[in-house]
This record gives sequence, structure tokens and C-alpha cells, in this order.
Amino acid sequence: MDSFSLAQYELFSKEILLADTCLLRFAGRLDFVPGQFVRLSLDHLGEIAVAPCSDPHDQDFFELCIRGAGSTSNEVIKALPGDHFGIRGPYGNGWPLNSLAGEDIVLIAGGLGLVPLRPAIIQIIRNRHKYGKVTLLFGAKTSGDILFLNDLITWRKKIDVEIAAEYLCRPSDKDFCTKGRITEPLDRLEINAKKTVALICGPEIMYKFCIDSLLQKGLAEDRIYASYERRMECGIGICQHCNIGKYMVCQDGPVFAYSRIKGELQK
Amino acid sequence: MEYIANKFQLEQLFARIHREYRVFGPQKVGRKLLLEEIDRFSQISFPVRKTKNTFKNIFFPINLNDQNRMGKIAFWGLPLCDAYALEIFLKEFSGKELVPERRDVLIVAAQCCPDEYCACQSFSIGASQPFDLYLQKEKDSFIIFTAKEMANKLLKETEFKQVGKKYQIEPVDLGKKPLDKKELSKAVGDKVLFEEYWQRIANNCFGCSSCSAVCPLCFCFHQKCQNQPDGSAKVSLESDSCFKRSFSEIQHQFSLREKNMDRLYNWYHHKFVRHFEKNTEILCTGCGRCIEACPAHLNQLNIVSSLIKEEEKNG
Repeated sequence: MDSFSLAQYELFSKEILLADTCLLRFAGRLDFVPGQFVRLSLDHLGEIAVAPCSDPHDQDFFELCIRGAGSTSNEVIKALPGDHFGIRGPYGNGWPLNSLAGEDIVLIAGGLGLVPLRPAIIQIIRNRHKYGKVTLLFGAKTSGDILFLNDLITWRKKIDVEIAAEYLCRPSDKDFCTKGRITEPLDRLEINAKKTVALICGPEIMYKFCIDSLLQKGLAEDRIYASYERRMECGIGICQHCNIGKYMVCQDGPVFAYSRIKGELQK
Repeated sequence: MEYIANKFQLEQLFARIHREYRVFGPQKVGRKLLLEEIDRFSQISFPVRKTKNTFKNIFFPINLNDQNRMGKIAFWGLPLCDAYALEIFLKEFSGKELVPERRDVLIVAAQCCPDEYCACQSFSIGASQPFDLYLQKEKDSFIIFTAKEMANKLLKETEFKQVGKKYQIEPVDLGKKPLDKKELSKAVGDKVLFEEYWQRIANNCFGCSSCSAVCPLCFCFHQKCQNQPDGSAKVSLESDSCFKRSFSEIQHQFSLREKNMDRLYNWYHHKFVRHFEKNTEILCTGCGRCIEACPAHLNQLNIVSSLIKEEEKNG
């Protein structure tokens, strides 16, 4: 078995979340930690890196949320139940959930960034008593682009959820989201800097503003964790496509403490 | 241990190796000296010269559908710089089942004839004995140095005469001072301090990726899928270069290294910082191919050695 060997999984249901985004549910067990990623392969086209977004405790199935952005992902979302896919992984390190017991948690997700955070949120909600105050801030381009809206509404019962969208599609969308960027609810948020940990995932442009805002609130750099997107090709740390300075995102990441990665981002 | 052999005995040794391994060695193709598969001893000339291509071109592209890619392979007549590079390469890919493991690769290094671009002395590569066998000419006969138990076994099998320990591998003297790897890594690692320096180099660099194409230790790759007429797909790993804009591209063709300076720096960073911090080895053995290949006449060795001087000046 070489490092590129694929395990075959059968797609057994598909849900269209947005016009270009699908939730694919595969039969079988995938042993992963929230925040890790897998490589989904279409052998005649290529591979894509995706983070599993279902409950890691599910024994019978796992879910992958895919947005059609390139040639491979556009082909993947055309798949129908019964199709088979090769998957290898999971790779990398996930969110440090085990070390967060007793802490307040701020989860910041932008757009598709909610995908790698979803299994973490499910795990946090399952062990809700272990954690302090948990807040999820979710930002989207428009109120029509909100992923997992039903989940967000359900999660509101257990954790604080704030949704911000830059544009509102309908006036009635005001009921569940506010107009503006994700940094606005973040700036308003009051946190206890000594016992709060922030987990961030989204487009990288968002990180700078969110991290600045968190640092201003007095949060230490080693209490901010962010998941970085890079061009992951091999997943085994040798192809060199996904480096950030001296770290390989596929092996050392994709989740990094900001204190660890800060000096490397310029290289 | 050292053994002595005449040309006839060496031919016997070659035949013995050829029975077990696919043998690659330097061979003249037209006007170029290339590393090609050889099946006759007469195809080998001595002392060896640096080939235009390297073992990288033998291993890549790695065809993932090919079940024989892990077969035994021998390299006959590699200069020390390439033998050392091969050791580093095999160590990096070890356990991944993409290329043969080190135990299935026989490295027969040989006394080389350095050219004007050679700089192996700057990286003091001889000390670690990166070979199984090393051939050195001594008047009309050859001295064979063995570094690994596997090689001793092979020579005993072919009944070679062992000689006393009076022979030593003749070091290559190019009149160059060895560079300190730690200092080198520290100097290259400080991008912010030497931003202007790197910009100056990048202004002269065409970003053509010739250096990474010829470098035996530029082993970055990308996955390529090709449709076959029978409906199946051929998946292979092909050499890639970090000088390409697409190398660091993510979604929507957004490149994380838009400027040539960033891509150029990343090349040096991988060779002298990233790999050194993980494996205490730098990815350069001073073969000088990049210096020879650069159309902009950049001298990569001078670039890093003057960076060390700059670092010393800054304290």
C-alpha cells in the first residue's frame, strides 16, 4: 500500500445546500479528528482536499461538503447516489478540543470555513457541560449563502450563534442574521481573555482582521487557532506545495496556533 | 574495507550487479553525457563526469499504476555529490512506497573529474560515505571501497582480494572553503532582514525554473491524471517547480506567491532552511548544475555564501 492508495466509499445520499454547494454522505466509517482533511479522488481528473463535516462519532456514514470551484470539484458535485469515490486520509492535525475543557470558546467561521468547524461544534455541543461560554460567529457574503442554516438555528439552543451577512437577500432575513461583516459582531463581543480560546476558519483575508480584533481584546497569541488553506497535493509532507515557512500544512497543520505560525506567514 | 581489482574483475562485478539490479550509469548519447540504463560494462568510462540528467529523471514521473516501480535498481559511476543527493532523496521518500527503499538501491560511486561549476567541497559531503561501493583508479587497477555490509557481501561473493588499510578516498580539492550549514540556514532563514538582497537577486532572475529542473534534490511533484483509451486513468507524480505561479495556487487561481521574489526565496528556503530544520541536511550537494543551467548567469553558491558574509556583518 503506497501513500497514495485510496479506500473506496459509496455515495449514498446527496443534499444540495446552495446553488454550487453539496453535502455528500458516504457509507462507511471514517476515523477523523475535527479539523483534519481528506483527499477525495476522481481518478480521471484529480484530487481535492476536503474536510469531513459530520459527527466524528458516526459509525455508519460521514459527510463531505463540496463547493464546485475547479474542474474536479465541479465534477464531484454532479455525482449521484450509488457512485463510488476513492478517499485517502485523514491528514493533518485538527482543532485542539481535548485541551479546551473548562475554557470559553469563540468559533469564527467565514463562508465554507464552517465546514471544518462543524464536527468541532457537534462535539462541543455533545459535551456542552465541559466547556464554558461558547459563541459561534458566522459570516457569509449574502444571507442566501448561509451554509447549514438549519444546524445554526438548532445550535442556538445550546450555544450563542451570531450570523452576519454583507448583503441581505430578503428583508425577512433580518430575523436570523445581521447585515455587515463578521468583524462587527466580533468587535461587540465581550470575552474573558484569560479563559477564552478562539478557533478561526474561513478565507485568509478574514484572519488578519479577526486576529487583530481578538488581540485587541487581550487574547494571547497561543489562544488563537486558525486553519490555513494551502494547495495540498500529497498529504504526506513531501511535495512542498503547501508550506507556510518551515511548516507543511498537510502534516503540521492545517490548524495552527497563531503564536506558532505568525513568524512564518511572511516567508 | 578496501578491495583491489583489475578491469576484468570489475567487469565481473558489473555482471554480478546486473544480474540482480537494473543498472543505470553515465553514457554518451550524441554529444551529451546522460544517466541511462546500461547493460554492458564497455559502456562505462572512467573517471566519471557529471551527467546532464540525474537520478531524479529516472524516478520521475512515478507511475502509481506501475507495480514494478519498487524494483531493485543500481547506479554505477555516480560522482560523490550525486551519490549523496541520492541518499538524501531516498531518505525523504522512505516508507512512502513511491520509489525503491534504500536497501534495494545499490550506489556505486566513483572518482570524478570536477568541472568549473563543481562546489561539493563547500558542502563537505565526502565525510558521510554516501555509497555502497566507491571506485578509485590506482595505476592500472581499481581500489574498491565499501561502506555498507551489503557491499562487502557482494564483493566476497565475487572473490575479490582485500587490501590493507593503506588506501584513502582521495578528496576533491577545488580550493573552496566549506560552508557552515547552521550559519547558512540561519542567514537564508532571515527573509525580512535581507528583503532588499533577495529583491535584487529576483530582479535578475528570469523565473524560468531551469535551476529546479536540473537540481537532483528539487523533488517537488504534482499529481497528474490521464485518461486511457480503455476508460481507465493513469495517475502519476510528475516533477514540479516552485518557480511556477501555479505551484502555490489555491482556489480561483489565487496564487500565494504572486511575485517572483517570493517564489525564488521559497526555493532557497526549502533547500537551506525548511529541510535543514527537519532533517539536519541541506538540499544541496554542490553539483553545480543550477549554476551551469542558469540563463541569467546567477551563481547560487555565491548568492548563499555572500548572504553568510552579510549576516556576519550585521552580527
